[in-house]
Amino acid sequence: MSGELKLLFAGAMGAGKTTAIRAISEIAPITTEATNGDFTECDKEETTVAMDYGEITLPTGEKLRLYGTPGQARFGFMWPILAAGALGVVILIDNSRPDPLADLELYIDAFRALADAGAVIVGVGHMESCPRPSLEAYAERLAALDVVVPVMPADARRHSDVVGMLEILLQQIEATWAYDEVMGGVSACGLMGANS
Amino acid sequence: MDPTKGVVTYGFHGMADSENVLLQSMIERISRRLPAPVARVPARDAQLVFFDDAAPRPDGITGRLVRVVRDMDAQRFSGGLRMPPHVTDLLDIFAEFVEQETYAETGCGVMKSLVRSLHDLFQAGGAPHALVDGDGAGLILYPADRQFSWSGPDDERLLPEWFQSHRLRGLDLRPWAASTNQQHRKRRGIEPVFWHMGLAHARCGLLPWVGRDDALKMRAWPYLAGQGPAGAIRLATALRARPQNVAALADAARVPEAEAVAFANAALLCGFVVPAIPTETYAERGEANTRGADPGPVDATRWPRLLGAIRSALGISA
Ligand SMILES: Nc1nc2c(ncn2[C@@H]2O[C@H](COP(=O)(O)OP(=O)(O)OP(=O)(O)O)[C@@H](O)[C@H]2O)c(=O)[nH]1
Ligand SMILES: [Mg+2]
Repeated sequence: MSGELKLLFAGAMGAGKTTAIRAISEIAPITTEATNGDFTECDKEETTVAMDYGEITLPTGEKLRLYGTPGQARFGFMWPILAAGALGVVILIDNSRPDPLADLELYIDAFRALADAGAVIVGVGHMESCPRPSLEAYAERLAALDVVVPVMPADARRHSDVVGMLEILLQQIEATWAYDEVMGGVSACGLMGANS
Repeated sequence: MDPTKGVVTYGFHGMADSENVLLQSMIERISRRLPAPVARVPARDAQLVFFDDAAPRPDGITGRLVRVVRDMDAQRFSGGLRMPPHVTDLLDIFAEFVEQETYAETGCGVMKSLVRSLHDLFQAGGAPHALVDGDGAGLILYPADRQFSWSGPDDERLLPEWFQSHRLRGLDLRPWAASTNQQHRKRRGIEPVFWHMGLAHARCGLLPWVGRDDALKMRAWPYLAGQGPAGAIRLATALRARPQNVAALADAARVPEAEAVAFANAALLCGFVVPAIPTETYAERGEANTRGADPGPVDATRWPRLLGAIRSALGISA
């Protein structure tokens, strides 16, 4: 158990992970941008091939680490590794992609355990130019997957949108925590697991 | 309000005697500015019960509960009384109570039957209907598609207005036959209409087919929460974590019960929230959490402090 405090930003290529981390990190994010050799998935010039990394120092002196998972699906094997022990995951969806709801399913599936434990939020970007699918369609798709996850419009370029997502994510984690308190130790091994 | 006497009765629960005396004398001092005569009675018999936020939820009390809040920084919020007492809070509390009671006697009958008809219409997926007000302005409803359109120019800002008391009486629901010049109206999902109708219904309590003790469960994220009530996101996160009834939900989210009722009505009508079947409430969520058995990086005692630290680093007030 490393004990590191970390938040994850996940999402397809171009969804805004690097941008979101840059918006809140206090260090210049360490990215591993490279020219995109994967034009089959997306015709974006630059893409993050390994991952993004940023940091926020808490008043307690601890560091909150911000990881951006690589967007290309072939790096999917890294997602569970990064998710282990994470406080929560921000899933960013780019509404201008061909099938954003399929992207949603892919990422919910990948982070299902955290989603069930109330530690996931979905932010939908590029809604100003592509209003469809609507938030209602997202909420319905999630309900069909039998999971309730907050979904909100979020433009990763806007600091207030990124903080707004984290605000709701923290509220969710707190509500789950309060619930686990009520449930008592044994069954409460979601977020609060009996890790020693 | 007791219609025969026109007197509003109030009482206290779980507070110190000295505070009761202080409040009573304040209420008597401002009595001439209150909308109705008032009388102090035992909490059990009172229509308005001031109760200590820290005390256990009182049993056997049927009146409306008014929380006493002892937070120096608390903002004035609907239904609560800050201590030390503010005269404006007291005036508002009594005025709001009288207004709601008056409304309950007249407007709630209309509201309840409208909600019932619209709900049934959409459950049945029936033919298009128009909901028209006295001036002929209206909404066209398409139950089979769960959609609506405006019959006049689009105006989202009117929705919150639509179910306010002054319009209610004039509202008429009738079958609507599509005329060709109206075929091209922009249709949208019915949810915003239901959301605002649910909020408005809060003045008349929970939806007629939902009981105060019914556990509610979240089915889909209420993405309209931004349209109110104020504590909607907190209510949504609390209900997401655990199926519960409205009173428990209000406690968990630390909001007045009236806000929890408004949220529950709106979310129930939209289908974001559904009544929980008793067997699936606690056991199921416990199991769901176990599935997320990815041990977190923090032990339980550190948790509140840690969330506080992250919030403060991000500039978020709790
Ligand atoms: N118009 C618009 N642009 C956005 C929005 N969110 C992000 N962007 C832009 O989208 C582009 C891609 O963002 P990145 O942060 O590089 O995306 P990424 O998720 O890191 O992508 P990969 O590293 O390729 O996986 C940037 O130019 C952002 O400024 C949005 O909501 N609207
Ligand atoms: Mg990137």
